[in-house]
Amino acid sequence: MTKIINKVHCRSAVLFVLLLGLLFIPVSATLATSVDRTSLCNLEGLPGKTVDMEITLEGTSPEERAGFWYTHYKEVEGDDDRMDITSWITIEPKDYAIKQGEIKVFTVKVKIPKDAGPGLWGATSEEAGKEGHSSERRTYIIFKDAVTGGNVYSGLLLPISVKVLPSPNPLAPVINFVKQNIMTIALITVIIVLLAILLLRRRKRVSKR
Amino acid sequence: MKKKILFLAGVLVLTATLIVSVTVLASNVSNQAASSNKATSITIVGKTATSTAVVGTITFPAGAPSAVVSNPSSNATGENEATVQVLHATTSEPVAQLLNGSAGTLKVWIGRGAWTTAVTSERYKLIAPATTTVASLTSETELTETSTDSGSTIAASAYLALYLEVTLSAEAGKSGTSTLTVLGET
Repeated sequence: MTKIINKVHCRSAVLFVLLLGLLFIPVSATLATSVDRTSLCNLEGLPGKTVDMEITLEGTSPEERAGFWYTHYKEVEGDDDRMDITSWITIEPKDYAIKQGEIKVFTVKVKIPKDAGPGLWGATSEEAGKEGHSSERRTYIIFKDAVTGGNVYSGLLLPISVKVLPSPNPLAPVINFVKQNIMTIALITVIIVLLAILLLRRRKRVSKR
Repeated sequence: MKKKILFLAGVLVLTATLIVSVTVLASNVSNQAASSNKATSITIVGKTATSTAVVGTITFPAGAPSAVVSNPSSNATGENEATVQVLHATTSEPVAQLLNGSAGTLKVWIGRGAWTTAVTSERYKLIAPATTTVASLTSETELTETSTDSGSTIAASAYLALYLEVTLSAEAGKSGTSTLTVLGET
């Protein structure tokens, strides 16, 4: 009889511990929309060129959600005109509707103006894309969505910045060609020098005769 | 003639040496791979503990002109989900909660759309769900039409309670709509 009571007590204790443990399991439910990157910082491009980036959203909510993309400039006192690059950015398609398990791909296009000077635009530091560096960010792309027909939107701010490269040197193609074929060029140079020496010796011999 | 042959042989040796050095340099390549976690937007859920009932709409009941309305409700439809906000000195209950489904901490930005009519101002408070002493929102921050940094953060898989309140316009018989936006920043 005592054994049976002990067994029941033991089972109850195990059940209690298991139920108590459930309370401490962190909630891992994702019920909104996921994105495959948290920043688009330090994109590189030349003045007058367009930089294209793909970005993906994944629906995780059981209900269909409808939303859109837009740009935002976080104004901070003392900022110069390099911080707001919202006018350079377009996201295609802008509007979307997403269901659970669905994946949608968007293209972020950054059109760098022809007169943009070299250096960093859209953030105060190249570290802006790292977690916790919010104070260094100025320009963002944002997606937000709500349950279709709802009025409560949620989304994420993704910082974006561009490193405008110096305009290319007109001799750049020649320099690149030399860099890529340095071994062949060195070899040809050595052969030409040796042939020249040979030719000079022959001329000397002929002149002696 | 011998000298010429030696000379050509020297050139060929030099050529071979250069080609071999190029080949050796080109073979020093290795592959690396790395990956990072996805980020997920904050979910607005019902007000009960560990709720996962997604909130689609928040509605304020009708009130007298110029009145302060502080008992909005959500459409959270989970089991036993209570939806009406309660302001009280010891037993306050929010209208909804924010749930961070991302792997890391998120900063919370909050804003509203323009009210079509009926409302002159809207205030909010974000606080840990365990705090149930929210009796008034009169002196809390106003929501603006541009989402701004609330100064609050949510740890991964954690909740934050959301309280809302509006002041109605002096015009009688009006009703209006707006949107609420909650954004996360890594």
